[in-house]
Amino acid sequence: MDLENQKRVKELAEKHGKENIFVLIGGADPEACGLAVETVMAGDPAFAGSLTGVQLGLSAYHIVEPEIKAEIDPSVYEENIGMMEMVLDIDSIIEEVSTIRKDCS
Amino acid sequence: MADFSRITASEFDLLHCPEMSLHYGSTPEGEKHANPGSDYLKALENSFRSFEDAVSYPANQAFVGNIDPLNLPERPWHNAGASAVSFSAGGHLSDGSFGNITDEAVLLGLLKMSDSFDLVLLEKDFSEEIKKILLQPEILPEADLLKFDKGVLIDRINEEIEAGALPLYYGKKIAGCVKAAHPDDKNLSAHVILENLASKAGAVWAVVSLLKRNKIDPSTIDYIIETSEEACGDANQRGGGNFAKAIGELAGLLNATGSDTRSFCAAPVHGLLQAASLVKAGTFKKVIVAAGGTTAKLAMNSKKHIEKGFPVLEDTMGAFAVLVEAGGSLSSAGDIIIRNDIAGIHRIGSGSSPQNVIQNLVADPLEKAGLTFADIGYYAPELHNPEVTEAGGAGNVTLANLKMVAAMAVMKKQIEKTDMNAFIQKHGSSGWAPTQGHIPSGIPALGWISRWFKDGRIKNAMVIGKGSLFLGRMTGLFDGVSILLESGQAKVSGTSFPAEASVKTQVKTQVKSLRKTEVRLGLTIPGSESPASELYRGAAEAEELIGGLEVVFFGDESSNPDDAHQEMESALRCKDLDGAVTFHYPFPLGTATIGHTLAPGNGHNLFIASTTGISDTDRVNALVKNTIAGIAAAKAWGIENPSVGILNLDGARTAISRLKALRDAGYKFKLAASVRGEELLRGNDILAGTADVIVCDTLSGNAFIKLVAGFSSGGITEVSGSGYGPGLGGEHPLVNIISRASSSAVVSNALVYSARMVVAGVADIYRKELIAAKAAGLITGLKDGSTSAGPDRKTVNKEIEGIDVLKLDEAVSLLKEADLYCEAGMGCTGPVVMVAAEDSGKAESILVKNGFIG
Repeated sequence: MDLENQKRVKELAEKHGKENIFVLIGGADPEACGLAVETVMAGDPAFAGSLTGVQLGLSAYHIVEPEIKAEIDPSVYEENIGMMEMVLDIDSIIEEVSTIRKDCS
Repeated sequence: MADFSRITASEFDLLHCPEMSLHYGSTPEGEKHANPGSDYLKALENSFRSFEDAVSYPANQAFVGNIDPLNLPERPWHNAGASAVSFSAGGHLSDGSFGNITDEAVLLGLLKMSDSFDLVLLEKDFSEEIKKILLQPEILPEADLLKFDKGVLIDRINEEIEAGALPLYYGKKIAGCVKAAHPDDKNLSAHVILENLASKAGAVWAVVSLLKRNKIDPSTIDYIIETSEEACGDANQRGGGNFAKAIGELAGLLNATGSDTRSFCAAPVHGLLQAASLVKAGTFKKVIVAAGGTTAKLAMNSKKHIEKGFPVLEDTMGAFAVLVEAGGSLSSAGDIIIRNDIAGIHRIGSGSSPQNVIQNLVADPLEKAGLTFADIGYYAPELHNPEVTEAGGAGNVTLANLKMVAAMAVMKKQIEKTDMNAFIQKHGSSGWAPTQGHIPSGIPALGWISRWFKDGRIKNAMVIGKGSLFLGRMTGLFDGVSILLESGQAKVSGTSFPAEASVKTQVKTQVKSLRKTEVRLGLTIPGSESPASELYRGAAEAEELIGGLEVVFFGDESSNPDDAHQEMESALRCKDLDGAVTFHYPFPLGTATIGHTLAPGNGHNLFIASTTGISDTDRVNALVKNTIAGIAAAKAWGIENPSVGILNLDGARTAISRLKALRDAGYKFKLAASVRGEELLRGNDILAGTADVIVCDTLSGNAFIKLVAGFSSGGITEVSGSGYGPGLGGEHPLVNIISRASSSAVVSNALVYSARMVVAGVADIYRKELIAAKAAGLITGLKDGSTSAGPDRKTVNKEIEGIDVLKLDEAVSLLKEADLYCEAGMGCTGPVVMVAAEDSGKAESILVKNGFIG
């Protein structure tokens, strides 16, 4: 996960409290999405950013996961995500992100 | 018909530079500061390819025009083995169909040539060697290379390096250096100077090669637009520019000036759009769009490449130059017509979601052009070499972009989801360009698009450039721009007209997407014989029927009709409105209005062509042009291949034989038969609805619409139909005329009819129909959109009535001679000459004196 983003996530979690922060990911690469989830839950696995060794335990999902899709008005979802749903490898993203979330919780 | 600009030549060059990559790529440079002596740096030194390997690399061969991107071999390419390539200039250059690949000696020579301030020093022996290389016939035999006689001793170079200059390497040895241009100004540091000179050198090489390959006289070039991603200037004007002029100076463009265009990777497509527009506007005749490459992006993904056992694939800088010139209608095989009117732009207010971006860049221009996604022969989005980006962790950029285009086509219900892969295969290709930011941005396809146009493989293409503006930290926005390109050949033969089937699909889509589109139509209130409440009611019904339609009222029951009309006119002129529905409009000569109603006999859509206006002063020509306008309106409505019948009026037989001749010469349309099976239609065919379009002269068409519209009210109020229809032909906005005695039903229908015509782009469809008919030999007695030349154009708001239609042209000429601006038109009572209010007295007296009016 981008070092600058790690810093921002850390600062936001400190300012507003971990329980008030939810991380929504929109990346295209399943592996990178999994790493992002791992970083905001269990700390930076690359030991490079400010979340190294910091277990924020934040709630993190990808926008294409069914739990998130169910929360959004279908027409709004279709208008904003409908096209990328066809472009992205959704199954791999869901598999990767949900597995990592399970492992980290 | 607009004469678009065309691309007549393009050049795509690669400069192989392993030493530059090793020392000045931003990734290796960053590593040297952060982890000197790291395993990556140790491995990097030995991971570069030879010049021969870089030349035979399939992606590079595609870049210079030797391997068709559609026939690239299966990957991996980096170990594909040497393909048959040839070298010249003593092994320093390998030429292709529209580009060349040179080695690092040539780059260092170009760097020295590009240096106007003695900042590049070359070692004495090396300098002489380079001079010999450059003077070879394939490189720069006529160049002024005096500065190469000023080579310096290696000790001097070492001293300069000690003092902060950056070493230049050739074959692992120091061959020279680049000095800072100022001791303290970081904008003129050795690093910045090297980066800028390298970019300039590449662009100079591409421009010189373009001129040489295509035998173009440099003195004929008027303007150069540079589109790289570098910035040159000093502490007080960090991005002052102008690379373009510096490049033009060295390339010998003595009569040109130029400027730089920046938008990250999207800049080259912006540059192309600007060049096309400058040329079409007549500002310049010949404009070059060019860019050199970037040293920073060399070896950018080399860490990942080395991890995967690849050589360093980012070991070449790219450069290109494209010539845009006037005369689209004169184009020859392989010329690329630039449809600057069909450009996709990512709007500031659009938002940066991929969906919005593709809507703006692809769907919007297609809708404007009346084309479907499948009508485009080839999409050229970011053409990054996938072998580089996949191994670097960024995926297959070209494929991802093509997938987005296909997914948008699915969303528009133009293809099935299961057909996405087939669509991508048919309308795109793998990328092949070096990952040099602005270099892969659609532009490298231009050489191939020209080739494919020439071969007849495709007839049109779309280049799409995208830029990550947010990287500059001035905005979080993204950028993108696209342009529709058409084959010069196809244009001349008229075959670029979209297939009828696609027009139909498009119309459906557009009507469906109207909710988002927002069509604004004006409606004038005063002058109505029906109560104003009927008009308001009709407007409300139309707005309810079509979400996204907004009706704007002009005046109220008590207003002066002329004032309301003028306000509406001004809103139309300012493009505050997309069109208007009103009671009367002085259409200029050359206009046919196409009425719409439902045929009483079968309830089918029926278009009456025409109902007012004069499409031509010759009666038979007018019937023929009315036919074409009727076809355009029916197609804009969504009728795929409308059937056309000519009513048995004076001149109809001649008109029908002319139409058949057009059909035989390639203007395709369907001729209907009457109820009796005859060629000419009778009055009962209007009731029976035997054709989609019924052609008649203006006065009879007007009477028929009135008859059908007022039939069930006993002729008191018009209660059915959609009015007398929009005027087609001539330069005027979309205006649909309705009767003063219209009920809410007609008002509503007329608004819906107009909205559909606006969204489908009926004017453009009519223009294309006319082009196709002219290609088949259509003759008209009028220029399209005939307005008088001579005196300065004025707003004409006073009608002079009573002139015989056959004498209209003569009357207009007479007034023109008297230096009075006027336009011929059709008023409520017949033909009129329209003049400005202040000229009306003088004009009337001239017309009276010459016997045109009583």
